[in-house]
Amino acid sequence: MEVIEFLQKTDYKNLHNFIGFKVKQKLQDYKLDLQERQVRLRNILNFESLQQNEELLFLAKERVESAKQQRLDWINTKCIERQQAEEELLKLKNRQRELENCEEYRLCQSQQILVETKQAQLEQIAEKKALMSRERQIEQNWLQVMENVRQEREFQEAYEKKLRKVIEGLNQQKNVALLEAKKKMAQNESETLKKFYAEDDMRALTLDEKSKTQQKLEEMYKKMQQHQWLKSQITNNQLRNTAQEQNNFEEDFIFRTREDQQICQELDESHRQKVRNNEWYKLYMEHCAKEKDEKKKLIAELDQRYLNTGCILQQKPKQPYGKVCR
Amino acid sequence: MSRRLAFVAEWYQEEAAISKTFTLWYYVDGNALEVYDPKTKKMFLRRTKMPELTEKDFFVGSKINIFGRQFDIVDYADEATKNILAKYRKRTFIIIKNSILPQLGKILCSLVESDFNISKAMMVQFTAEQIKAFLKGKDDVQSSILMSQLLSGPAIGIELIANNAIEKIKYCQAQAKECMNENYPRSLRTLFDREDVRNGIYCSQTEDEVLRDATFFFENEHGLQNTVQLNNSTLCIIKPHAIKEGNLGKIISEITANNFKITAMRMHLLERVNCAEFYEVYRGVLPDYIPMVSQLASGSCVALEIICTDSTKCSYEEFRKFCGPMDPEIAKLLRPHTLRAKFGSSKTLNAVHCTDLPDDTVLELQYLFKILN
Repeated sequence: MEVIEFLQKTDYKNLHNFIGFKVKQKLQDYKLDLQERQVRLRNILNFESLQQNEELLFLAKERVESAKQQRLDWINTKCIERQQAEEELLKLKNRQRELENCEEYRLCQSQQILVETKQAQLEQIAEKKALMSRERQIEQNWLQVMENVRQEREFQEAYEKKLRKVIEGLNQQKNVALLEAKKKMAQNESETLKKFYAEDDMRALTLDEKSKTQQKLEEMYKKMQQHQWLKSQITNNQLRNTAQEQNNFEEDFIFRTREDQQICQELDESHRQKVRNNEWYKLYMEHCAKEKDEKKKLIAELDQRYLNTGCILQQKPKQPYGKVCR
Repeated sequence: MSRRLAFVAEWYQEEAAISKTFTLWYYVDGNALEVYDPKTKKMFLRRTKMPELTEKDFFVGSKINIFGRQFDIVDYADEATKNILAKYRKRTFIIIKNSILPQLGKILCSLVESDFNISKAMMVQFTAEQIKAFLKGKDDVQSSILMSQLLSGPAIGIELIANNAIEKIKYCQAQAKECMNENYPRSLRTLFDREDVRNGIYCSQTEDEVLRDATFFFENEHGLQNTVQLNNSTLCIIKPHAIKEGNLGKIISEITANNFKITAMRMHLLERVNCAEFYEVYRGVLPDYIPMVSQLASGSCVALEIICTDSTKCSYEEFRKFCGPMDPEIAKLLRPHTLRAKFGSSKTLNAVHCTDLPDDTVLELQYLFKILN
């Protein structure tokens, strides 16, 4: 039974180890494979990046060259264009010079210029004439207009004068009537006002007398009242003063008696303390004398005991020595 | 106060083999995210800005990658979010049949333009039995046609999310009068104006049907096989940033227009661990290894198996050339017609990943189409 169990166990262990080993091996293989793949991938990518770099360089170079070529082409075309333009200009100039050098042509030209100037002068003279006549006409027109205006104004002024005279004559009578009516009105008004003021004065006088008598009565009544108030105040004050005095006297009396009692008590106390102190002092003195006697006795006994032994019984204690102590 | 969406999300912790429930708060205005652990009553992640996430990424059933951790949104955490989103953000499921696969790029372009969000996608080859199971309980006349169409070659199943998604596709496909409504996206209407497209797209008609079809297609219970060939083919991954920028359709169109054929396709939301494992060979080789990993893990990516239409040519070499240099700046200078030159912006955001080692094509394809399946 044990042997079988042992064998089973070892078998199981072997199997377990075998599987573990296989898994480990596989993982190792996978790792190696992965590394190999990574190397290959790196190579591929590196190669590609190099290739791309080269291509980029080539592209850049191409672009630079094409730009250069373009620039050169442009310069060349511009040069050719300029040359052509120069040539054309030269041709033109030559033709011009040739024409200028030709005598017949020059004569013809001068004659033409002369004719043109003469024509121009004639035209100028005609223009001037036209202008002068125009100005004259305008001046005449102005003069006519001014004359018309002056005449109209004169006519207007004469008509206005006439009208004014007629209007003044019509209005004279009306104005006189109005003035009289106004005067009457003013007189009436002043009379009525005078009457009214006289009545008013009378009324004011009567009212003034009445008011004065009333004021006097009021003043009298006020004085009476004030007198009564003063009287009552005085009596009140007298009563209050007497009451306060009485109170003060009572209070003083109480204070005095209390103070006296206190003084008596204090004196009593001090007297008692003095007596007690005297007794205490006596007792204390007695006690001190006793103590001194006992000490003397003890010292005498000690001296007796150590007499002629050579022992030093009493010594002065050592004094500390230093700057601070001094 | 900024608008806040609240969701219940689950994270499967591999080390402990348990899925933990969290509350996710997404702040729409600040584009920020907060994660709360209701079990311990502690904040799991403080309010952090996540520029790579958008409001479109948040819906029940979506998977969100937060610093390499994949959170599955399972429910709405409050009534306000439920009222806002549950009404409008609807899922729908379509199958792009074999007959119009060459126009896949255009179809995806118009779907993206019409505000459809692609959440899942996979190319499969149906067997007769699988089709029978898929068509169980559907109209007989329609199903017989569909059966023959699906058997004729590989098809791509796509789960889409948009406002009134089911109605939009259904009415457009039926050329119904409602479809003429100006509210419907123009690009979608123009797409469905073509008869071949109408015949080449199958779409689920009701919400229950969407649920049934999507689970049949994407939950691997019925043994649907992807169409990966692993023979003179190469891998292309369309990176999350390109998908978020809406370039998925354009990139696929470019690929198919340049003598390449897509033989397998699958949309993945990779976890950081998987991304790191996938890019293992680049560790220590490229200085941008870590940003590359985080970019790949930042959202959904689409893996494509690509072959050259001319079988005499090496697909790996041709496609690598077509992708262009890794740095889009260099690509724009040297190879302006390549994918990375057109859609890339920096070394890590270079739109596509293609296999760089000739021996790794099979390995990478297997990893994305078989191992992660």
